[in-house]
Amino acid sequence: VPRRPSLLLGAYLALQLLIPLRYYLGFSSPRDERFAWRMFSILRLEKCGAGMTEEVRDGGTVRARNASLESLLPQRWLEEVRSGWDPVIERVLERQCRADPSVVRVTLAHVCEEAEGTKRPETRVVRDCAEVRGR
Amino acid sequence: MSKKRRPRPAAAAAAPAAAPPPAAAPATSAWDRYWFGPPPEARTFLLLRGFLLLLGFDCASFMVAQTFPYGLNGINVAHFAWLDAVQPLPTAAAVAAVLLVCGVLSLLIAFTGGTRWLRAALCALFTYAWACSLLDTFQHHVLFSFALFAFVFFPRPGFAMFCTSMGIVYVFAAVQKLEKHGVAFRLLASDRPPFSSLAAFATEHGVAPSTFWSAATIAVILAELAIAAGYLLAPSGRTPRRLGVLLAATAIGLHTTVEILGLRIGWFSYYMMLAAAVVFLPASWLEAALRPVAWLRRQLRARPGPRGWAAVLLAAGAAALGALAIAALDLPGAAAAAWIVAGATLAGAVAAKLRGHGRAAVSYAALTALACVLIGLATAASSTRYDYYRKLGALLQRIGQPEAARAAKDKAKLYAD
Repeated sequence: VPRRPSLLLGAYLALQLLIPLRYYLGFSSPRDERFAWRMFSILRLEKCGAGMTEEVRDGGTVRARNASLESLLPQRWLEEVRSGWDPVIERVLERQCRADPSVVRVTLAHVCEEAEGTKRPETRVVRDCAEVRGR
Repeated sequence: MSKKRRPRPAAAAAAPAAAPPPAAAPATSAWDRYWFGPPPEARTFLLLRGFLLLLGFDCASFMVAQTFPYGLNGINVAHFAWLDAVQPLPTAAAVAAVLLVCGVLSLLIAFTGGTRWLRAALCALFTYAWACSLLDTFQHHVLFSFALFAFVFFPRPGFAMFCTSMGIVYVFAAVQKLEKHGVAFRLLASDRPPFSSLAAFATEHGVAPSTFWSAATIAVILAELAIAAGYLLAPSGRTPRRLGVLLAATAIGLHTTVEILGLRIGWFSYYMMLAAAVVFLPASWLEAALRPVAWLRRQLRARPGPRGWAAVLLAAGAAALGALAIAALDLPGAAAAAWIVAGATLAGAVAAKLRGHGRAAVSYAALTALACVLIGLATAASSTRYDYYRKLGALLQRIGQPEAARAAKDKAKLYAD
């Protein structure tokens, strides 16, 4: 039996152990269970909500308006935004900035109540659209 | 008898490989036997073919029906940031096309065993289908990528790779239930059958709810750990017959219970039941089940087939038939998938002819056409198109596109029965 395949198989085995262990050792977000084989996830029982507001330049003034996430996103993205999945929130904020040049700032607030009833504090993510458009 | 001398390194390198005398031959290590020991052929045959048959229909029906929101409003996040940086926005048509090609490829490999390259292509395509977007967060799709990777190296060391992947998944699934005394399991299962009825029955008979849930959680953890141990030991081939039957029954029972729980996990339970049955049941039982298949294979191999350019012409006809079956699916991406399947089949047939394997070209093309027709029939018989257009219509209505929503709902009505 050749040696090199045995080494590669050892690496393969180690990789399979290390990928889920990343979650348990705190190297990935506690909300990111994708590669941790957590088949009975308590996260799916959380009750989460989110809202988005935009500041819009209207002539010489800036006014705030609510933006409906429900009329923008498919259910799956809504769930990710409400539960606070950062990359999805970031992409939604970017999209809002790019979709309408009059938008100067977008704020997304999300909050969750855990399955056991504990309410997590509200989190706000704010994006300055000039910065987004400059990228 | 000549005196044995230890060769100098230079001499050893230059000398042709000579077989060591039997007495001095070191037995292969336990590590090598684990990965490279030959698993029973019936086991690897049924595992590869059964798993890929399921995957083929899963891709082309259940998974395709979930692609309706891809690319909507220009928003997407891939599973990996580097993928986001290199891929265009994955649209519903693009992802459905990839899944349909995966479906055809899975069935083709299930019928033929495939080549290593075909199995690698399936692994890459399937992995891309879930990795391209967080819209697909089924954890078992990640597991299937590991399984498909193991299939590339079937039967050795692929069978052991498959078994270790499964064992590790069960270990972590059990570990998760140890957290907070299994609260996640209790919260998920408490108001769903069969656990809701069992808990009520236990309470009626004087068992405290906390005792019932502790016992149920421990039972599930023990079952998962036993199955994990079974998978990890399976490549050694030393699982006693009766223990194998017990492990298969445990896994099938566990996943049947999960199905009854009604969690939204697609066809996951069926793959796990199939894998457990094939890996744990006695090889003689699997061989008995395979006898009709072996007879069919002998009959097909005995038939003479066309050779040369006649074979390529026949293959082209089969490719066209398969492409028509896929194109007629009336799903976004179906036409693209049909072109890809037809093009790949024809290219494969020409390549096979040039290498002098005309008969193989016809076999592959005919079986590709059969895979396409089966997928077409399965789609027509299932609720795939109805689900796709109904969900799309509802989504378009919600996001303020009433005309497109109406068109999607009208299409859904076509496939309502």
